[in-house]
Formats: sequence, structure tokens, C-alpha cells
Amino acid sequence: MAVIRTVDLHKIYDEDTVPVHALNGVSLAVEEGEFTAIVGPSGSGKTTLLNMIGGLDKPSRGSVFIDEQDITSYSDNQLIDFRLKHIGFVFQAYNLIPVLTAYENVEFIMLLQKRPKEERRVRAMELLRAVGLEEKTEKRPTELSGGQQQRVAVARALASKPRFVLADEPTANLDSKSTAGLLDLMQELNQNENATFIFSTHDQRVIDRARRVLTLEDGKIVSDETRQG
Amino acid sequence: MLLKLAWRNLWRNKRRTLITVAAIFFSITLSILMTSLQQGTWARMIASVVEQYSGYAQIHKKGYWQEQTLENSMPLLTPDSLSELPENLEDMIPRIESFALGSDDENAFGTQVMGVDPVREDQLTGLASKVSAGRYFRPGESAILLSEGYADIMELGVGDTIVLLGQGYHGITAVGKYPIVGLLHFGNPELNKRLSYLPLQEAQFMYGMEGRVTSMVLKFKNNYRFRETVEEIRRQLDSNRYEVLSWQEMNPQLVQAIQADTGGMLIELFIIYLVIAFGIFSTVIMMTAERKHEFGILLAIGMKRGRMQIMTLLETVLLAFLGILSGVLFALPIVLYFEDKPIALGGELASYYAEFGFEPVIAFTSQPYVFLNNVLIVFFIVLLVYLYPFNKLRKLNSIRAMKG
Ligand SMILES: Nc1ncnc2c1ncn2[C@@H]1O[C@H](COP(=O)(O)OP(=O)(O)OP(=O)(O)O)[C@@H](O)[C@H]1O
Ligand SMILES: [Mg+2]
Repeated sequence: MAVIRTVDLHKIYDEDTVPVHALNGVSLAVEEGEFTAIVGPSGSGKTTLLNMIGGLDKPSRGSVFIDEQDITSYSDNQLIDFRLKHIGFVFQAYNLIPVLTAYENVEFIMLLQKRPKEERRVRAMELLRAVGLEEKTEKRPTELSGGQQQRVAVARALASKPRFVLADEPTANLDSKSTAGLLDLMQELNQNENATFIFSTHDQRVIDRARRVLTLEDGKIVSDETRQG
Repeated sequence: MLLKLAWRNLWRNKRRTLITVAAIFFSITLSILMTSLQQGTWARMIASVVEQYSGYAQIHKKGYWQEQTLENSMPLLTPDSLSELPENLEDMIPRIESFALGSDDENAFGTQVMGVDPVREDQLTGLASKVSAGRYFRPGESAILLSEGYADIMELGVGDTIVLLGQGYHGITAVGKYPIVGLLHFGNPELNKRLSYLPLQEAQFMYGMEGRVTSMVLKFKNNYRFRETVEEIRRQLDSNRYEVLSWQEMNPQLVQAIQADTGGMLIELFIIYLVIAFGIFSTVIMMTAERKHEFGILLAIGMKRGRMQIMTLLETVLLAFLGILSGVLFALPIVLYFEDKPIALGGELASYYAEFGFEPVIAFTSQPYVFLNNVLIVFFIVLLVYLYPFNKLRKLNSIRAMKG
């Protein structure tokens, strides 16, 4: 059973004025444990696709099934709850809440989920250790480097044991060393925690690390390549 | 958790928060002091007129207040004259008020003669405590007390004798000669230069009106509820024969002056509140705008709008609370101090006040409503301002917010 399944997904922006066909019938399925990159030129619809899958925006046509649940019919509030419970997000930059420490940022998701304190502590420390920041738990985001901030964001995304993590160009603002580090980490979590990762990127080095590469062009999937690894 | 977030968010920009808190602090301090001063000064003025002179309400023969002559006097009333004694009514205190020309060998000046029951008048207005020289009436004695100012004009003192000459009831000539046993000090300068006090019997005798009075002053157990009691008494008395007037009805100019002054201050307060409103508003706008991206992230990762709205509400309320609390804490001791020790005005200002018959004193009041009103208004403003982030969050779109 696919974790994510989209059926003939269309997204048209500015339908009333100058319509932009950002997605033109995207159908795909993602299985549990995948480590998948979505690539393609700028404007090809990567972000739009991730937003649809993540329940941040609604398609103009077509459906998104998460665990065979059609989330396109969900209300705004249901979607917020759904995201909180089932999806981890990592955005390009400034992911973290500036007034919270690294530890508190990771804990935050679990607080929203009303998890007991001890469970929150154990899980947050486990993840911060996994992303190599056990020394920086009390630091605020401004006291962390961009790479460290993205690591905390990955830790936060995984805190609630989501069905999958969506990352829209997570390395776009990182230098190559931090990029490599973040990918090592994601790969490790993919293997050790069996976390499903779907990320978009322009960076060839990042693409090279993916096990499956979906290429978009003009809102259509033009290639779907799975490598042995 | 929300409170912790709100508190930390508040201090993200320390300087701005402090400036806003300071703005609220100054405005709330100013508005409290202004209200306290105004209400305190008026309360004192009302007290000087009402509690020391007219009482909260009086019963007269119908038409007396329009035309204050002895022909409009009436037979003495007692609480028993009422078919049903109002629970809040403590006593009815008789008075004769009339005029006379006071004279000795050298001077002759008019005076307002008050014929009073020495014991009960003292209970009502604390007359005995106003004696500044000499002594108060002794039971059954035929003597007079003069206000200080009037004694000055007459160049008379304790131990001297004064002759009163006036027109009595039914046009008879009223004459009396009385030893001055004491002088009275009134805070109200107007009263201080015209009042003379006689025991009721002496006044009745002099004016030829035994058993009659011009007014019955009502004494209440609880002055705050006097209006209801006045209504009750009105219903019980024959309105063709009697009038029951509240102090407001007897002093319409005073009421008007208070209203005019209060109206003037409301405008000033309105300006102050406007300043507060804009201060808080601009801070809240900035706090909302600069966190658009962050709100977008929060919404994306699953924080409900409602919780973000509570968080921003807490921020706004905390901001206002800090300003209000510091303002109240700062104003309170000032108000309490000057309530205890009113500021006596000197020099020209004093004579200006005196000209209008006002006691030249600036007083404060610490009545809770002075604080409560101002605090509630600021809180109301804060809630109004809060509508801005509330609405922004209601319409928040996480994708658009994160882009911008
Ligand atoms: N909110 C929007 N309103 C109108 N048009 C939009 C909006 N968002 C995206 N588009 C358009 O939809 C198309 C796809 O955009 P999208 O952001 O998904 O591309 P992308 O592949 O993520 O590009 P990039 O690599 O630059 O991030 C583009 O033509 C873009 O201009
Ligand atoms: Mg994009």
C-alpha cells in the first residue's frame, strides 16, 4: 500500500486572470521508506506538488491520497490536524521558532500533540543526538549555523514519527559541507528510523544521493528513475 | 506553553516593548491622576456644599426653593409624619434659613441666619467641629455663632454682642440681641463670610414662627442610596403641599459646572487613550507583520489558528498589563498621599477659586472606579487592537506567508 498516491493532479494558479498551469496531471505513488528527490527546472512545479501532498494547498483537479485517505476533501482545520499528526516539514530556511531553543523547537510538535513530558524529553534528546546537536540543545536558532538550524528542523520534522517528511529544497541555503552533512543525516534517519523522505532540489550532489528521482517539467512527470543503492 | 511563547515573543524586541509599555504607563498614570484629581476636587466641593451645608436632600413647603421667604415656611415635620418610615432614613433635621441685618455700634451687614437644632445639626454637618474660637452652643442657651469671615467684616469676636434685625413671619419685625459664644470656620469661602447660627427655638422666636421651619434636612443611613429614599418619601408626601429636593435639584449650577468640567476632561482623556491605542496598535502591527513567515511555518507544521490567536492575545494583553500595572502602581501612592493631604492653593489662584465660592483646594480621590474605569478602557482598547492580529491569523495562508 502506497503512503502517498496522487491521481491526475492539476493545479492552476490565477484561474480568473492569467492562468498558470503549475501541475498538469501528476499521478505518482510513494511507498514507505522511500528516499525520493523531486527535480526539475525552476517553475516546473516542484514546490506546488509538495504543497499538495503536504495538505498546504488544494489541487484544482485530482486527488491526493495519504494512506488511502483522500485529503483533498478535508477542511482547513482537519488539514492542520492531519499535518500535525502525519507529516513532517522541512522548509528552505527559517524553519524554527526564534524564541525557542533547539530542544524546545523539537519538543514543540510533541507539545502540540499533547504528548507526556517524559516522552517528549526522551524523543527530543534522541533526535538531537541523532542530528549531532546534543551539545546545542539550549541554543536559540540565531546562535546556530544555517546547517545546524536545518538539522534541528529535520529533528523536529521527525519528532512526531510522521508517515513521511517533505523537504522543499532543504539544502538551498547551505554550503556544500553542510549539505553533505544534512544528507548523511537524512539518509541515516531513513535507514535507522525507516523515515520516508521526499525532497525537492536543484543540486546535482543531492540528486545523486536519492534512491528515486522524479523529474518534473511544465507540471508533468517526465521521468521516474529508481536506482539500486 | 502559549504563555511562555507569548512572554518570550514580547521580549524579542526589548526596546520596542519597553517603549510601548512606557507609553501605556505614562498614559494610564496621567489619566488616573487626572480623573482622581477632578473627581476628588468635585467630591470635596460637593461634600463642602452637601455634607456640610445643604444635606443630600431637603423637604420644604411646595414653592419654597423658588421663593425662599418665611411665608413659604411650614409646620415642623417629623419622621412620624410619614405613613411608612423609609428604612434608609435616619432623621429629619429642622432648620430655619432667613436673612437679617447684623449690627453693633459701628457696623451693619447682612447675614444668612441659620436656626438649627444644636445637637442634631452637629450630627448632620459636624457643626461643633467647625468652631475655631470660643465654643459651641450649650443646651437651652440664647447665643449666636458667627462664621469667621462675617465676624471679620463686623469686627466682632467671642464675648461681643450682636443685634439682628429682619423681617419675620407674616411681616412682623424680627429683632434679637445675642452674645457671640463662638466663631465657625467653613472651608467654602462663600459660606464662611455670610453664615450665622442660632438655636432653632431662638430663631423661631425672633422670626415669630413658633413650631415652624423653612426646611427639613434629610439624614440618611447610606448616602449612596439616598435617591431611592427621596423617591420613597416623595410618594408618601402630598405633592401639592411639599417639595422633596435632592442636592442636585437645589444646586443646578454646581451640577452643570461638574458636567461641563467632566465633559472637558473626557475630551482630554480621549486624546490620551488615542495615544495609547496608536502606541499599542503600531507595536502589534509590527509584531504581526515581522512574524508572517513564522506564522506560516507554525500553521504548516500543525499549530491551529486558534492557538496562535490565543498566543498573540496573550502577547497583547501582557504588553498592556505591564503598562497598566506599572501605571497603577505608580499612581496609587500619589493619589493616596494627596487624598490624605489635599493641596491648598495659594495666591491668586486661591482668590480666583474663592470668587466662585469654591474652597481653594485640589483634592484627589482613590475611589476604586477612578482606577477601574481607566484600566477597563485601556483593556478595551487592547482588545480592539487585538482584532488586527486575530483577523490576520484567521486569514493566514501558510504558503503565501512563507513566501513573503
Ligand atoms: N501562488 C502562486 N500564484 C501564481 N502562480 C504561482 C504561484 N505559485 C507558483 N506559481 C507558478 O506555478 C509554477 C510552478 O511553481 P513552483 O513554485 O511549484 O515551481 P518550482 O518547481 O518549485 O520552482 P523553483 O525551483 O524555482 O522553486 C510557476 O510558473 C510559478 O510561477
Ligand atoms: Mg520551489
